[in-house]
Amino acid sequence: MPTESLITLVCALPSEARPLLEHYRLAQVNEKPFRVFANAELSLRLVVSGIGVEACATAVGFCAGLQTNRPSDIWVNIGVAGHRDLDIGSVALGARIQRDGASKNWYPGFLFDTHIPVSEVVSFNEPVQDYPAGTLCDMEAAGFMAAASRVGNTDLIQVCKIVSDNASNSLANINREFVTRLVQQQIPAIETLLSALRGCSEAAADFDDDTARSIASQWHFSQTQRLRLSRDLRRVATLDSEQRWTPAALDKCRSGREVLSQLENEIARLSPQFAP
Amino acid sequence: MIETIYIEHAIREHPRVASIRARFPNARVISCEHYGEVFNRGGQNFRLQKQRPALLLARKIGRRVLPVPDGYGLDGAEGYYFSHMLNCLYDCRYCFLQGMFRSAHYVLFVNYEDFLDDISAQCARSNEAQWFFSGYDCDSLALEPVSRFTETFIPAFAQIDNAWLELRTKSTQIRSLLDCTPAPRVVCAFSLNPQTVIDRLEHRTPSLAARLNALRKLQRHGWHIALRFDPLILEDDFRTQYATFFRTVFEGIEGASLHSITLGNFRLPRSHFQRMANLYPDERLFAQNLDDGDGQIAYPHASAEGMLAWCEEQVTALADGVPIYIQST
Ligand code: SF4
Repeated sequence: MPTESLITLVCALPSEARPLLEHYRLAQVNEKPFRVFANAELSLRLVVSGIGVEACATAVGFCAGLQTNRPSDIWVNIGVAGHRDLDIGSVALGARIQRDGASKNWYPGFLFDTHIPVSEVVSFNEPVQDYPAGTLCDMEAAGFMAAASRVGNTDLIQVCKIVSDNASNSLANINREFVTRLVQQQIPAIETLLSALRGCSEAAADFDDDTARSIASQWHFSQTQRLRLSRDLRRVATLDSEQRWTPAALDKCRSGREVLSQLENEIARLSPQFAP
Repeated sequence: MIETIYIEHAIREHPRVASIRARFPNARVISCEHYGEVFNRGGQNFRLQKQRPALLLARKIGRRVLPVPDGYGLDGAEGYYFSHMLNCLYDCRYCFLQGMFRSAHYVLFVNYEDFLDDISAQCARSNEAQWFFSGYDCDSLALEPVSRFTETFIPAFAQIDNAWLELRTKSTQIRSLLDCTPAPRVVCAFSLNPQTVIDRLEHRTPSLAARLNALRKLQRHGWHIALRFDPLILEDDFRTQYATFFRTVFEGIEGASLHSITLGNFRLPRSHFQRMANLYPDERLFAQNLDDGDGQIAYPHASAEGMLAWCEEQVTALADGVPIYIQST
């Protein structure tokens, strides 16, 4: 059985997080150093990072340390940003993310259907009013990308920004209620994005290893042998198209080594042969 | 369908870039400094990207023409490969590109003229025939409608007296070849396998019948044709499958006028194999009993030898006199 991927949403501000917490019915599961919220199935969680590149990177690192990361896990930074020309309330995905003044770029992948437009994102240390052309200006995305791409699959990491200020509506008009409303209005787009990412992550999913766990509890295996056990059990299952083989075939084995040797014989027996 | 195109900033005005962009007016276009920022980054999953690969348009700098590995060329002749493209439209489960590259995105290097300068320079160093292979890191023709590779390379090869070009393909994108006069030193080499193998392992490729149809058209038009039976895939009914397959292939083609035939078993460098088996842990091809020797994963020695000898015998009977080469790397 493929394991379900875990979605982590990262918001800088409580006002950005609020509509998501309500929509996904997330309850607080951690208080310090970062407030983390999760749904009942523990398949979606949200962390409030605080403002700034460093805070965001640290929050991602903290969440990554809470459990074993799987290759199919999804990470999304959701928050407001400024843009010279885009309409207030419009949504865009980060296509190329950079920290102001640095040369490193991050490129989230687009392996799913989406009508959300894309934009470059530059993360500044301070709020900006002098918006560079064609660029979303925020204060977290670069930190998010730096940390998330260390623990996750680059193609399952996204930066989703909602425009809160532009050349004709300055930062001065922004307050908490306004930010909450902007995110709230884009919940349908966020929902579609998450479900598309979830669909796309299936090809990267790892598998439950229940049979190997149960066998490993009956005989002694070294670390290397344990890895081989998992791999060879999977090979037998793959080759045994009629699913005749069961772990009961190993019952008479007296050691882990014998188990492995029996599996090897089984693989040879199930493999195609070129008869001379 | 290409939905995302990354373009190196330095070549954004290149005419080939403009014409490719015009083919995909709805694609999202993302500027990058160097294609490697996207192609070589960590944390990518080839299998995931293969679902919806992006196109990266770039300029190839550094060495553009490289010697082929031992055993890749024909009959020990000097051979070189050049990669105007990395990765492939098709999705053959045995393809070593899955183990070699971190990314499944297509990279197209648009500075064809630089490749041709390097090829000319290489040929100028010797009077001997020099072989060039364009299908080492991609299928030579699969992306032809986008790359328009043959339009530039074939006339250029015709101008270099000692340059031979092998286009290795499973594609039926042959319109450009039918629209021009066959070049004297260009060989269209078709990779073929039984339809059952195509169905199981050569995903998104044209059927055997479609490939044979394309091959026959090219042969009638006057192109040199070669057959590549590589990789041979071991199944329980190997002899029955391949005996029927070989007969089908040689029906309707002029066997005697073929340029060459190669035979090779499924084999992979160990490091590539391990990555590919991790990407597709439920693939029978990787799960079966294989030997690990000399840095290469391959069928157990006795099976491998037997398969090659048997196939050589079958093919010789059908195409007597055509040079047959055994590929080992
Ligand atoms: S056609 Fe060739 S290059 Fe393309 S996927 Fe298949 S083996 Fe790889």
